[in-house]
Amino acid sequence: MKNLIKVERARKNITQGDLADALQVSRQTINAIENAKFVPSTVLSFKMARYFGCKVDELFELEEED
Amino acid sequence: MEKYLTAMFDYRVKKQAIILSIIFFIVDKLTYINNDWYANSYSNHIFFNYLIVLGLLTAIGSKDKIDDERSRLIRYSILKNSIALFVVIFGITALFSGQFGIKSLSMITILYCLQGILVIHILSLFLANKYNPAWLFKETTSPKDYNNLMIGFFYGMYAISAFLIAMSFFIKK
Repeated sequence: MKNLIKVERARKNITQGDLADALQVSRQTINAIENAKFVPSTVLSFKMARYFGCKVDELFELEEED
Repeated sequence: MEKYLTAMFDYRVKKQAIILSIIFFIVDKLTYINNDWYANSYSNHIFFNYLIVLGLLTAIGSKDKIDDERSRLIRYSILKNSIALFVVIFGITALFSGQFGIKSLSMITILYCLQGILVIHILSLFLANKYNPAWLFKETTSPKDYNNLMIGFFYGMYAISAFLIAMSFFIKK
């Protein structure tokens, strides 16, 4: 699954640590999600979308192999 | 799902449990070398090794400082690997007990096996949390692979057991 978290983070000018603090997860979790190693739960995806002020499907995108 | 992956103890307990295990390990080894009475008392030696196992079990049952869904998934994946590793190592130890310098299968052998697996488990948890290996998060590979691994292992053990039983009958005659 592709995601645009890095882009949204750059737009908001925040670090992985800032985002992790806001969502109450670890910085490594944000890093794993950004690098598409780890797919977050629905709850965390919605929290992220709410934080960036967008919809979940604007933040995450299914790839062909998914 | 998250409910079942939640650890038992607070994250502060982890460090304390590891430190206590190390202290017990050092005390056990020093006393075993320097004290004849202790070295001869097998139950003391077992008790200290039991305390080491208890400390390590407490450490693996503790939360991380930030215990989120990724760390729970890592904990679960590593636990799955450790259980498989324990079954394999314990099976091999049971098979070769009394040979190659391994003492016959006793309480202390079981405790040593457990200690080795628990130390590997704690190190794996630490490394997985730090480096996020992608294979840990892949959902599709594990169930089938583990089924095959365990079935293969048990069939192997059954075959070896059957061979040993058949040999014992043959030798008796």
